[in-house]
Formats: sequence, C-alpha cells, structure tokens
Amino acid sequence: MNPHFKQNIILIAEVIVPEIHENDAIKYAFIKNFKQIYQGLEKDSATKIKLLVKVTDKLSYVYNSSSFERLSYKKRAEYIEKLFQFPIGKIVGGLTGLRSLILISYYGVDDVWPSINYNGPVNSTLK
Amino acid sequence: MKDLNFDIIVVGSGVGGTTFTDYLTRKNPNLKVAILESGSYQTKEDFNQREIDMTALYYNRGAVLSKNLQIGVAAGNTLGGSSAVYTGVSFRPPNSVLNNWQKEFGLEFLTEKFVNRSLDEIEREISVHELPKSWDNDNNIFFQKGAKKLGIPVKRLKINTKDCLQQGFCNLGCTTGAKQGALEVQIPKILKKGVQIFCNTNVISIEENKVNVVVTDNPRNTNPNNLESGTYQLTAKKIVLAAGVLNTPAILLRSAKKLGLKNKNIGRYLTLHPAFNINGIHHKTIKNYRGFPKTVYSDHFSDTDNFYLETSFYFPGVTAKNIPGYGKMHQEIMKNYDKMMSILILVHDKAEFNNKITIDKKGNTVIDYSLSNNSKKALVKALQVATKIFFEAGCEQIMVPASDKLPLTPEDKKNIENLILEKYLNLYKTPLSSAHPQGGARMGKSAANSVCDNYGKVYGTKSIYVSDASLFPTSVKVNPYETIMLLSKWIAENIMK
Repeated sequence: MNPHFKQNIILIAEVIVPEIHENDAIKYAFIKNFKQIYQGLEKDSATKIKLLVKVTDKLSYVYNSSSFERLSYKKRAEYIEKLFQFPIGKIVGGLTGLRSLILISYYGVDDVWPSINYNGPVNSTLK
Repeated sequence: MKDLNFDIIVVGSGVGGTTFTDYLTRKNPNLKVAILESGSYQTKEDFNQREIDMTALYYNRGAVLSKNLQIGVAAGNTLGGSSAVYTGVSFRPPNSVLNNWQKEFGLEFLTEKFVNRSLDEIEREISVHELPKSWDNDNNIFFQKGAKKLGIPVKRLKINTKDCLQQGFCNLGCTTGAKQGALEVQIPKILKKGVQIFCNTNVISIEENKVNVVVTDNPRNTNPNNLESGTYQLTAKKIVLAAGVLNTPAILLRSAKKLGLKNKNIGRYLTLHPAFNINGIHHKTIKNYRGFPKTVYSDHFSDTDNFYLETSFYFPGVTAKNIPGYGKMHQEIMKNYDKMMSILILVHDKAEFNNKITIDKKGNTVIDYSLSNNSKKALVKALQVATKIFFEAGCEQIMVPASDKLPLTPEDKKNIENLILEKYLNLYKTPLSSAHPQGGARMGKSAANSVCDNYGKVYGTKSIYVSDASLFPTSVKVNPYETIMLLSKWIAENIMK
C-alpha cells in the first residue's frame, strides 16, 4: 500500500469506526489487519478499491473545495455520509464493500475484543 | 519432470470433486486419478480460529462481489473447497425439487429408490445426525421461544459432525476435525488409494483430454506444493470439472473456442440462495459465539413466501459488517456483541436465464446477477418475520436492512410491517450475501435448456464432465451439500460405463 492510499484508508476508517480516530495503538493494529486482507484480494478487487479511494479524494474537491486529507474530522464524516447517498449506485456499493473490509479489519484486532465482550479463539495454543 | 498423464483429472477438491473421486475409485481402484485444487494445502492443524487469518481460506478473502456490487458470494478456496468452511448443515433435497428436476429437466435417475438408498449411505458415511436439545445455546433456545409465541413451527437441523467440541468456529475451519467435510472423510480415503492432489494449481483452460494449468508458489504458512511452479499441460482420458459455481462455468467459457462449444446456456440460470444475517440485542447475555452455532430452522414460509430461517452465528468482523450503518452508533451497538441473537434468512431464488456466471476480457469470473422482485419481496417478508421472532424472544434492539429506523425497539413491535418495507431496501447499502451458489452448467435431457446431459457430460464434448453444484437445474432451496454428493455419486458410478 502506498502512503497516500494508506492515509486515505485510515481517514475513511476513522469515520466508519470512531475508535480508530481516537486510539493510535488500535489504528496501527487496524491498518496491519487491513493490509493483510487487502494484499490477499484478487487484483481486480484491489484495483477497484484503489479507484474508489481516488474517486473519494477527487470528489472531495467538488463537494468541499478541498482534498480529502485536509478535511476536518467533522467535515470528513459529513462528506462520507454524502457519498453513502450518492446517486451512482456503484459508488455506494463500492463504499459499502470498503466499509465491510474496514469493519472486519477493526474487529479482528485482539485489543478491541474486550470492548465487545468477545473472548476470542477457544484454543489459545493454536498457531 | 513428473508424469502428468492420468486416466481422470478432477478440477476442484471440494465435496463435488472428492465425492466423485471417492465413488469412482471404489469400483475402479486401478485408475490413475489427479485432483487439481486452486487453493492451498491446509488442514485442521493449520486453522487458528482467527477471523483475519482465516479469510485466506475463501476466494477474494471472503466475498466475491457481483458485477452490480449488490451481493457478495462466499466460497472456499482451499483444500476441501467450501466443505472446509461450511457449518455442516445437511439437508436432503426436497421431494418437490427432485420431482421438478425429473419432470422438467428429464433427470429420470432421481427416483425415490435411488435417492433414498444413496442418501442413506452418504449420511452414514459422513455422520449426519440431528443434534440433541442439550446442545442448543441461548440463541437457539430463544429462537425457538420466539417462534413458538408466534405459532411458527421449528424443526431440528441435521449436521455432519463427529465428536464435535461445540467450539463454534466452523466457518473458519474446524480445528479438531469434527466436521465431516471432504478434509476429514473423502480426502484421506482417496489419498490412501493413490489419488494425487495438486494444490495452488489454477486451470486456465481445457481441451478434449487436456488441462492447461498454472501452478503458483504456495502462500506463506501453507504446506508446500508437489509440483514446481510453472505452466503445465496435463492429459487425461476424462476431465471432470468440480471447481464450484464460481469456476466451473468460467472454465467452460474460457475453453469454449478450443472445445467448439456454442451452447448459450453455459454460465446461465445461476441461483445464489440470497441471504441476510441479522441481529437483535437481547436483554440477557447470550454469548452466541460459544456452542454449536445452529441447531434449528423453520421451513414454515418455504412454499408460501420462498424463504427459510435458520439460527446462525458469525464472528465479530462479519457481524459488524452485517449490522447496517457505521460511526458512533454502530460502535455502540457492537458493544452488545455478547447479547446478540442471530438469524439467517435464505431466499429461494428462481433460476433465470439472465442471471449468469460470465468472464471478463482477462477470463476472470464475473457474477452477473440481479435480485428479482420476487426475491426482494421474500427478503422483506423474511426480515419482518425474523424481527417479530427477535421481539418475542426478548430482544430490545433489532438491526435490520430495509428498515426506516435503526435500531428497532419494542415500541415498534406493532408497526413492523410499516417500518420494514421494500422501498427501504437499498441493495447497494445492504450486506446481502450468498454461500450457496448453484447452476451455470445445469444438467438436463436437452442441450436446448441445459449444459450437461443426465450423466454430467458437457453437451458437444467427448471427455468433459461436471460434478458440482453448477449442475443444479434450479435452486435446491436448502443447503446444497447432500445434493452435490448425490449427483457426484451418480456421475462417478456411470462415467466408466
């Protein structure tokens, strides 16, 4: 993942799961999980996610007269909400797919589990 | 260089391919058989019950999205195929479906005698049994309680497990080998008979008696390949495609030119058994993530409204994905993970010509599927019924797609039909999924409406057969495991005649 793409994923993820915005250790663990899943995706899917992130960035100029990266957290959240209402279904579908990857990556972090009362794998000796 | 000539090459090590191979080699022990598997060689020792790592057992890390991005299909891409990651739910195909396949598609071999005798044997061999009531965890108990209050009859599921420890991690691979899928039943048997299995082997195309493959390096933390990475052409007297619905039709389409196939039905009549997994928050701690995930179901609405309800459970990430919305509210809802009840909705979708597996310019699988209006109606009705069950079971908050309100609370109880409506069902925003793709190389008496004949042989070919759920002429309406085994057994017993 190149730094710009990674940064934009984090910025989107912080809106999907606010805890990522508030906790650096969780943010680090989240992006590690996201990278593991992303790198295992088929090439076509990975390309589509890259494209979606690029579109998110470009559209930000239209909606906010600013790059996505420079938006405040509040503005970012408002903008993502607008994208979820976007008239082109495939943008919404793509964003929903990205939302899924973000949620799976975040809730795959061991340190998140106590907050949802999940005890994790049964057999801790598993590799 | 290894000897790459075989009597039979089977593409795919899931339940279709391995059941075929098992039955084939019972009567023909001297045949030289190879199985080609695109996934890696992993067994129970390699599974670790961790969601992030185990997504690697699936194609595209868990979801292959349809072309219109409205539904994600989950299919196993590992030794044993989807049988490595399914829950073990074992249904016999409903008589109404088999009668239809006999009458409309000419599958005359599906007589009551053949079906019952075969499934009796299959169920014995894979240890199918009804789970005792003592195994019901709170989710299953509350589901029954809610359904009973509403007068909805509930039945007990049959599962194929042996010495199950009820750990609840079936969909991430069974670490104890209790689940009697291909990894534990068919594969050990056929390996003993000398069948060779080549993993990380991707089939590019097939020709009569030839299979063109690329073997890739085995991924980290998986067992090494027994073929060096590279391009190979393997030869065989007969080739059996059992690569699953996402791949078997795609291989045929990629090979159509070389095989001279012009059949317009290849890839068509795809059904996906569309599913929603929804959650309600109970007032008590449930810990649905412990214990066997599903012991009961209801087919009460199957004939009238085209859906089944099954109890279910998913891990935190998939559960979060299944709950609509995002942000602070979503995070607060997830804090109740240990109080969540879970219901799986499965809709019987009609086999339609326009729903298909196709390929893109590079030859990759494309799922071109649109949900019909009937299926949408069924989903909405099922969401309404499931919501009522949640409330009657004691849930205080319910999170469902197609709802005007999130979450639904007990004051909404009397207004469910007005709050959960088709107009609120935005398929771009809902986590609609499928784990039971069927069709695409349907079996039938005539090439006019089918791809394979009554023996699984692809029309217009001399040596190519199919042995997986691609054969289903229509949706089987239930979890397809036993039906795949039934057809694979039939094909194996007749292929050498």
